[in-house]
Amino acid sequence: MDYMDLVENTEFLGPEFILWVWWMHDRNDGRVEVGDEWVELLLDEQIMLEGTLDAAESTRLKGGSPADSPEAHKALQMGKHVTRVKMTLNKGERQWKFMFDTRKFATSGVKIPAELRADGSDESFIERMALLEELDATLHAVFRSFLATRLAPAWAAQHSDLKAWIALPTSDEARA
Amino acid sequence: MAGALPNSEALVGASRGSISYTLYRTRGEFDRAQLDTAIERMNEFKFRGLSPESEADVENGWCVFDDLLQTDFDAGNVFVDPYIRFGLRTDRWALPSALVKAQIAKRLNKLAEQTKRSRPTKKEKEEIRSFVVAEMKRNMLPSASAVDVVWNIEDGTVRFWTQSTRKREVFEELFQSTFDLEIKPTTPYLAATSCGLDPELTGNLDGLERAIFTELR
Repeated sequence: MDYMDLVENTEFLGPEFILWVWWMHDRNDGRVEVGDEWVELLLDEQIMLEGTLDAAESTRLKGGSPADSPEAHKALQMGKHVTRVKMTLNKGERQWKFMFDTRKFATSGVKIPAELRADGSDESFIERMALLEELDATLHAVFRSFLATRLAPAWAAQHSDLKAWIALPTSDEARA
Repeated sequence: MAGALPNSEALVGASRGSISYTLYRTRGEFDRAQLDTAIERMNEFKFRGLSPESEADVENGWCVFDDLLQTDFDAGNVFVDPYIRFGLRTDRWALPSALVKAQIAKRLNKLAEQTKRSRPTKKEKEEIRSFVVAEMKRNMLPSASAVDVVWNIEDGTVRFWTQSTRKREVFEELFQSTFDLEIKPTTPYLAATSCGLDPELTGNLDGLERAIFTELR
């Protein structure tokens, strides 16, 4: 299989990764072990989901914590997958906020933790780059944690857990 | 230097402002020993400016990081260990089409009066159009933009400060021509194969199928 085919045929791993992060967000307050430390990767105030077969069937939720809303959960039950989501990464005292395009595995609109210097010097540039590299490295490390299960026999059990979580009645349904 | 002062300076920056970029990875070897060659090549592919006489409506080339007017590279303005940083400058003629059409119509009318012919030849129309376009270009400045590029030569990552498809295509082609290195934008596949996963697991990517989480799709 050539490179472009592999890229195209595995694009779904981005949406699946964020579904897994969403599950961790719901189950474990977004805490994920990365190497020898814990980070928090949280779904923030914007989320966009699309139908797998029809991109026009989209759900866009903004404000508050849309991932916790019955509408978002219902969209998952309808087989929709996350295409774009605003996220927060908390690592120690520091916080990054960014938009994540799941199919491109790309970040945009990144807000980095406050810089020690912001004076346009080489030192300030290096610090800024280091903060961006840390964000990308952490996202890749969390992705590695997901793939370590996704590509292994252990996925069967986790797949069942995710299906059961998606099938749970939404808070609106539970109240009815 | 890169010619006339542009009429807009849209710096999309690694050093300030909004942080949206495309993350690439280089494929192939590059180390500090090749820095001088890289700088030579950047000078070869530097931004050279748009001339009113040229047929081209768009010109792309490298400029110095954070300074779209400077296009002469040396180690001092390129290398901040471990980063090679520069910009992709793009200049574009943005002629107001209504004005171009009006000027052409005016000249065609004048030609008709002079020659007593109602219809100009195809060649005459083309000559008038070229003349009008060149004259307008001489009286205006192209729009200019520069997008920052930051290449970490230690880990092979390249950040290009936009996600615009058109600019990315230009950048990828120019980067590969300049440095003889292939670059690939991050995708789930590239992230999976570069995140330090056990190679045995990476092998399972080939033929992997989408997971179904609900009966409805």
